[in-house]
Amino acid sequence: MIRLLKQLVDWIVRTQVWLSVFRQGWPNTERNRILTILNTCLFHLHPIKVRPHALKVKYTFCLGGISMFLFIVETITGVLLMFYYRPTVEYAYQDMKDLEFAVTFGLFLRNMHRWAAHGMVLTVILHMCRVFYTGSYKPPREYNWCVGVVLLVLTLLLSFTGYLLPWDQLAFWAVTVGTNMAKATPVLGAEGPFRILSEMNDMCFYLRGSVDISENTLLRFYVLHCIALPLAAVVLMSIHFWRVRKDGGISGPL
Amino acid sequence: MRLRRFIKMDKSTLGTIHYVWFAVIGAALSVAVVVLCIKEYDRDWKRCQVVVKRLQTKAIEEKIQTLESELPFSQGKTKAKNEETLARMRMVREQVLSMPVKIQQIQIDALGRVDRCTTCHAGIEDTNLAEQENPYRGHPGNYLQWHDIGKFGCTVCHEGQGLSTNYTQAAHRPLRGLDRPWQKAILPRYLIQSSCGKCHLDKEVPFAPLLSKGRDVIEKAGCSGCHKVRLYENQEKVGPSLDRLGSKVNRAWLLRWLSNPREYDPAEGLTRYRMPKFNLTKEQIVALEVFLMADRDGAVIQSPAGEGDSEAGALLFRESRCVTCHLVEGKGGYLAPELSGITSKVNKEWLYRWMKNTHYFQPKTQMPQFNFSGQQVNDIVAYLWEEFQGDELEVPGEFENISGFDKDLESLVNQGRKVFMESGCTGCHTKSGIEQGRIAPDLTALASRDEEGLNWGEVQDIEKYIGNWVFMQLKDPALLEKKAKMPHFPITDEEMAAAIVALLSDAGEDMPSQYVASLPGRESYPDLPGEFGKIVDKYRCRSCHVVYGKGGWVSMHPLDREGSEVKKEWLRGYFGLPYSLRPILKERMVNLKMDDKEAEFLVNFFSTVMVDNSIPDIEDTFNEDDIARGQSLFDKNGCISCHIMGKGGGYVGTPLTNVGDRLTAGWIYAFIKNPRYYEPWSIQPDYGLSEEDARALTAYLSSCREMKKENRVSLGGRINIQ
Ligand code: HEM
Ligand code: HEM
Repeated sequence: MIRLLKQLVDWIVRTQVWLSVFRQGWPNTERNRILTILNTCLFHLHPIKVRPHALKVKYTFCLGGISMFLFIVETITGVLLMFYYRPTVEYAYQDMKDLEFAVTFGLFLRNMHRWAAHGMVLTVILHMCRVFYTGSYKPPREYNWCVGVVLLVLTLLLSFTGYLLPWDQLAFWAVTVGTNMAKATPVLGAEGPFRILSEMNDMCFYLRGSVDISENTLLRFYVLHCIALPLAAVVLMSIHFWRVRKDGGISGPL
Repeated sequence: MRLRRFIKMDKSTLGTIHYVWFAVIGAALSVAVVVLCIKEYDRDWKRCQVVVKRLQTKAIEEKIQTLESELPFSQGKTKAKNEETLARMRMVREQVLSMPVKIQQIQIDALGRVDRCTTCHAGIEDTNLAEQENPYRGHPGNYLQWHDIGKFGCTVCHEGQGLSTNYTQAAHRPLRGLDRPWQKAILPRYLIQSSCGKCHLDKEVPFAPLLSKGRDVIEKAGCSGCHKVRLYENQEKVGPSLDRLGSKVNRAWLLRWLSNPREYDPAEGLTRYRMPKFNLTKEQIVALEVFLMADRDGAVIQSPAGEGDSEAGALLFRESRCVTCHLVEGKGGYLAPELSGITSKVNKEWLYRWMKNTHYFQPKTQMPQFNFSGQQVNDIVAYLWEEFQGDELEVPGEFENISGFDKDLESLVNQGRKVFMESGCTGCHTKSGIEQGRIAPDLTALASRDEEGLNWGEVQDIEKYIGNWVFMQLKDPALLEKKAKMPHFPITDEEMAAAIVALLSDAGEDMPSQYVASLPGRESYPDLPGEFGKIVDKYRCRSCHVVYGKGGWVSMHPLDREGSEVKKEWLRGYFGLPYSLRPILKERMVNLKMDDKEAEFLVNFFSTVMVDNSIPDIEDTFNEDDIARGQSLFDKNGCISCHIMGKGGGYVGTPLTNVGDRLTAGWIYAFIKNPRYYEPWSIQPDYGLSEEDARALTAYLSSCREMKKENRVSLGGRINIQ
């Protein structure tokens, strides 16, 4: 019986399918372990070696990891939401109500997306604090700190653009206030100091796609929220993780 | 306890502890998933539907049982009928029982609405449930019969969040404040009639008394003079023209009137004098007075030739029925000003000219141009001067010092003109040479106004919704804004509330044309052409009657199809000497003393042009059987409780004693067959008469005539005056 099983396993590991996926032998030697990491796309982002201090929960609190996890949750629930949601003035609000009251598990989906979004903003900020308090922003990790800063901005922008999508009073006025701020930008805003632009071509106008919040704003924010910003975030996260590896894994204790 | 001991015991084995945590978190997650599924499955509305279903079946079963118990006792036709009903009811019961529990929704593309209200209010269409509590209740009244729920849904009238299926989210309670997620909560009962006004654009809306009253208030108060108000964009200015005022009134009267119009009529409400009280200083009032009095007309100064005979005047006064429109010591009509005390207001010479040439002084007045001769006018003026003598008015003391003004006349007049324009006098009064647009904020789309932006000034302890804000504007605008320009109208709180309901019917939505309800078959024709137009204008028929879509509703009877409704001979007589058709009404047709040519023209015009093809031409000959059957129907249906017939009867409807002389058979037939179509506001019940029954009744009513055929030739002297 055991012999038979062994034979079966031997056969499986020699099939082309297996060999093209796992290009090296069992990771039971140092060399094979390194090769496993190097040859696997996802793993190669991960450091080759993780030192014991980095495994201690109290050092990183896994805050970066949780942010990443929440982003994945956002992506999955977000894509599911996109099945039901149409970004037009006519339907946006109606579709939200459909999700809440007529789609099975729709309310759960929505709440999940919403809470995970709040959670992500929180964990990313806490992660940044952790990095700061462990002094991990110092060279050679200063580059990754900067990537991180952009990631923070992207997270906040995702949250902001997503907020308009339900198209209710709350969304409408929150985004009105938010985009009004752009009006007060120096030079680039129509009402800021040193203004040179009119209401028809200042920053606020480009954000909204019109003078007031309108159908254009909704579409704009939708495209940003569901395509542009997530794509940018994925690319930057890849760089972020890869940099962690290249900078010699998680920083050591102070 | 055990866990901790376990952990203590195996402190060394880190792995075991991790397994425990893993198990605990795993179990928690599984529980969460189960809870989620239960919550997802268990919705409030499902319980509602189950309860409604139980109530519905119970109601039907009760009916079935009573029918079943009666069945053995009934016979013949009734038995067959009962059996049929029983079978139908059993079918309904099966239907109710087999209704699946699911989300219900009404989608109305034309209105862009999707309403799920019936998911909880599942029995809303069931009249058996009219006595139940919400949400199981059937809709009260007949509103759903008039408005098919599949075509209208719920939120067009009630507002709220139709897509939601739980109580809070459906906005049953209005949430106010910054984080209010929705703009429209369900309308409270006192505002619900405002929704009727979205589609019902006529002034009188059946079954919506508050809305109708409100529209009346808006029209009477003349809000549209200063504000843009939907439906009233083209309303005429409500006040008289102030041209040549200097030759009409005296200075003391004007000063008093400007400082407080209420002085002449302390009664609240928009019944008589409607001029609001403006917030003016003494100086401004004097300037206004100088400005207005400066406009005089030379022609008026000459006194008329000849002396008047007040006794002849009194006769004319009564014959012409002046009191139909004019008040005399607080009694009489409400269309026109009080006549008692008239001498303390107007100039005698002016009065003479006015009677002679009414429309020269006030091109828009509601008063007809009477055909009085110079002597007759002298008589009437003499009568008025004798009968309605008032005290000589004095300039109030407070103005004595100011009137000594050191400014020259011209600068005073200019100042007055400025006050005139800035206070918005132009909203209600025309004055040659002064034109300006509406000076106050636009009130269209009021119901969708952003409530956060309203300025509440000093007002506190009040629910901050737009309706209350308008209420405060009417009640005491100074509380909202110190320098408010809005004048104070003499209107009661009830009138204010009604006006608010009417104003809030404009949410800026454009209803699709198939939803808009206007009275049927009436084309609007603002300016009537030709000879007909001239006569209508001269006698101001439109002050009281609607003629081609425009006019007053003193008579609830538009004249547009008068030719199909009444007989020619009767009309001719009526123009000669009009009488009151309905004794309980105080408004009576005035005696215009038309000359024969005009009367003949109108009679011909009515019978050839003002007709309605949907009213059949029915020959006036009926056989005795029909008449007899009609009479028994008349008795059976209890017509007599509202209409006078012969000696007795009710006073609500028009007397029918001699109705055959007055109305055409075609109109009688058409109207009793379908009263709501012809006059939606009419309280005449719709008996759902069959063709035969309607014919029989028509035959009977047409036979109710005072005169036999032979002597029906000349009607000149026969009219009975009531
Ligand atoms: C690929 C990734 C994502 C996709 C496809 C996506 C898609 C969507 C869609 C379709 C909605 C509209 C539905 C709704 O309003 O509930 C939405 C809402 C929202 N999204 Fe995302 N999203 C993604 C990622 C994110 C991330 C990363 C965040 C925040 C950091 C975020 C924050 C929000 C917020 C705050 C809302 C409003 C939720 C609400 O009001 O219920 N989303 N998203
Ligand atoms: C979407 C947002 C982000 C994600 C998903 C993310 C993810 C991660 C992960 C998984 C790690 C590995 C260590 C750990 O888990 O703590 C890491 C490390 C790091 N992150 Fe981020 N991060 C994000 C935002 C940021 C931000 C906002 C900053 C700083 C401004 C930042 C700076 C860094 C640095 C400097 C490290 C290296 C830390 C070390 O070597 O100790 N990251 N990030």
